[in-house]
Amino acid sequence: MNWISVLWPLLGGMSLALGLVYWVVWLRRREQRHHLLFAVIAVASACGSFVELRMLAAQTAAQFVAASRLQHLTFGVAILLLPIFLRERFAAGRTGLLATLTGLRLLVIAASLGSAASVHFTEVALKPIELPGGVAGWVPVGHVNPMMAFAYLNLVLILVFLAGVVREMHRRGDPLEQHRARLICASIAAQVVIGGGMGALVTWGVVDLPLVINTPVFLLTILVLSYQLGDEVLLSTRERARLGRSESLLRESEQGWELAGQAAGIGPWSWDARSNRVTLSPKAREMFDLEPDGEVMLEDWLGRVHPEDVEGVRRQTRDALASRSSFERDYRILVRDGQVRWITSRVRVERDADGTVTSMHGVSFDMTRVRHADAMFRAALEAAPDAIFLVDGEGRIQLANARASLMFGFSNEELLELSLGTLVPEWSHRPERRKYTSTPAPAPAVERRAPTRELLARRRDGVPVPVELALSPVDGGLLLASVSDITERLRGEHESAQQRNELAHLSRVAMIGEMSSSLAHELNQPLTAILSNSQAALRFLAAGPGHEQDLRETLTDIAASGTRAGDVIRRLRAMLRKEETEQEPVDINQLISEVMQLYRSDLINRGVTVLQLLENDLPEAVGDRVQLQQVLLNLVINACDAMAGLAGERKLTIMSRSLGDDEVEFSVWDVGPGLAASSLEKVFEPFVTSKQDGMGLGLSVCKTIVKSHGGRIWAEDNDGPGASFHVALPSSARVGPRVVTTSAHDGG
Amino acid sequence: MESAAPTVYLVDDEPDVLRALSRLLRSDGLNVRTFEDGITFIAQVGQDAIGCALLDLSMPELDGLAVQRLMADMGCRLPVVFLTGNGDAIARAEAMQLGALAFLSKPVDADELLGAVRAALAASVAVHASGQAEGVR
Repeated sequence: MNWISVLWPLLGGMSLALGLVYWVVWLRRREQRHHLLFAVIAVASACGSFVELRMLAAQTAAQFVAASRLQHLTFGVAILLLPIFLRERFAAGRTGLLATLTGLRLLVIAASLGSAASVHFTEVALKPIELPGGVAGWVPVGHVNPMMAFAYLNLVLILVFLAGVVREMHRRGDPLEQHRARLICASIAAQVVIGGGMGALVTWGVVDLPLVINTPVFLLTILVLSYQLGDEVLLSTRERARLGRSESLLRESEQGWELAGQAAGIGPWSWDARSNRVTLSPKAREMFDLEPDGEVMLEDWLGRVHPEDVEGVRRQTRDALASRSSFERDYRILVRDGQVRWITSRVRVERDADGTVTSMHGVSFDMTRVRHADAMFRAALEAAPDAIFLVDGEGRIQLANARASLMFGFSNEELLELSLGTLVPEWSHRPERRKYTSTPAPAPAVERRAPTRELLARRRDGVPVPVELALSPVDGGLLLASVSDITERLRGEHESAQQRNELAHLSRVAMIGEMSSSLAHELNQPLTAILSNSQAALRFLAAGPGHEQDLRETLTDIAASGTRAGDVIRRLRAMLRKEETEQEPVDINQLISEVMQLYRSDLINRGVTVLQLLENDLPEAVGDRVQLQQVLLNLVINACDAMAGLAGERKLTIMSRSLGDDEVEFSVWDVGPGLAASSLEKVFEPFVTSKQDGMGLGLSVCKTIVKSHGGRIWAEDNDGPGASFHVALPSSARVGPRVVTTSAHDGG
Repeated sequence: MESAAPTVYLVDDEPDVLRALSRLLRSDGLNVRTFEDGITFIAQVGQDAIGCALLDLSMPELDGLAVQRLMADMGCRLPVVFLTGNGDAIARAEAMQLGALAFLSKPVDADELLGAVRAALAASVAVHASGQAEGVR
């Protein structure tokens, strides 16, 4: 028992243990083949330790040679594998060199196995020596085997290979890997130099040593290697744990994204350039109508794109891959049930340091509903009979429909350069507009619908167009302006006003025909006075001088009567006039006395007494004087007609008063048979009459006239005998102090 | 005044006409009294007045025919001449039946009017002169 026989098995056991450990590691990580290589090297090295023990214990030269051949095999295998280990671990070193030195080593091993003698010597003699600590050993002495040249060439080439690996790692620049490569290569180099050097010295007989020093030398290398590998394994395990954590975080965040994507209709995806594979989120798969799982290639995805859009999508994708870093595109896809979806995709192109495309990342949105809403909005916009504009706070046109182009004679592009003020000049001066522009927030509900206004717009050719403008504020500080051409409506209104006036005129003419005897009487009176006065004057003249005063008075009276006759004619002409008058303020009390004057004779002839109850300081009404006279005259004639058959007193009452703050009323009361409740409304319908010779148009015409003045007309059955007809008209002024005067009027 | 000279009692609701007619009658040297309505005339005319009544047929409240009837009722024997703006045949017949001497249309010619009035005045004077005989009849 000596120290070598204790130490060598210990060292061999360590190597063996390390080899087993890394074999297990390799079993767990099959892809890391350098672990297997290390395990084989360590086991081979362990075997070598035990072989060296046998060499020491050899009793004969033959035993020694046999053991030394085994020794050479075990350590030879280790040396053979070390460069390959480096190559596997660092992916570095020149391939040609590796092949050469591996070949050399295999040659040496093969030669050693094939030769009966030791690999070192062709003939060997053993010289006993005593090692330190009293250990007995053998030193081989003999002719050196020429194969040793190959063995040492192999070792030199290994050193060159190691240098190459270190240099290459240095060039790659990763400091940690550099450090590892340096350490491992240095330990291998040390082993090669020490082991090889000692072997050479013994072989060539420079020193006397028993050739059993490989075990500690190899163990040094194995310890360094296992230290490094262990460090890596620990690091990678830690890394993996960390990765595992962050992967679960990533998964969580991916799930979060997926959830958000689902909710927002966003589908993320990415395309890998090397594999041409597209990775899509479930939402993206659903969006493009792809199977929930399975590989998707770029072409599968492009296959969904609508035939009309696919060329554009391809072209843009090609352009982006060739030159740009990101792009956005709207396109349609056709899903399997034939449905069309509108998709918007935003894509970023990723490149490596050389500018080669590595991947594309994109998000896609299903814009179909937005597009539909947009299309519906457009359709509604285009279907509208009016010109519709969306304008900003400054009146600049943001959107206009086809009708707008048609109405104003500008193309849609031109309209988008204009402001609403150019088309409807009065619009920009309206104070209401500021109300909208100064408040960016939507206006309160009461202001949401601006009143419709009649304005004059201007077409491109300068022709003015009467329009109605309605403004309503929309979100985002915009205004929706609806402009309708009211030319036709105004024409219609004008025509119906004309027809109304014509009917009123015809009705007036008919009425004047009815009262022709009264009118004749009214003219007859002044004519009688004029004639008599003239004849008296002639007599004064015939009587000679002295009648100047009489003559002067007579002529004055003649002039007054002429004026009176002229008044009658003038009123008559006014009543017969056809054209519309200007709307003017009308004093209702004056209107009543004028009408009474005109109808005076008839009232006398028909035995009707008139009572006028007129309110003083009555506000004026506004309207067409002649038409209002017509209404009153019509009511007076009707009242007289109603009382025609009365045996008793025929009393007509005319009343005027103000109603509230803003209306003036006049009313005509008779004491005739009155009206049945059922006919209170019906009397204003055309062709409804109680008279034998009437057309029944009078009251319907009255109603038309009053309505065109914005007033009301109605009939009432009196508490006492008879009926009354009331007309209320909008007044032009505030009500004055109410002083009612009563005057019995005899028609004179 | 009535006893001194026969008088024309002129009743017309139209002041202009009243003034013109009275001026014409006066220019011919006649005495004229004017009334704007029948009631005043009835109230003021005496039973024994001499002259004639020149009545407007169409007047408010009390028309010419009503005035003529009231005159008859109160025994006023003034001959009546009617003036009318509209030649109403029924009114004319009624007036004649009640004893009107003439029924003239406005505007009236001076000679026609004066002829009728003078004839009426003559009749009145004659009636007054033979008051006894008339009264017996």
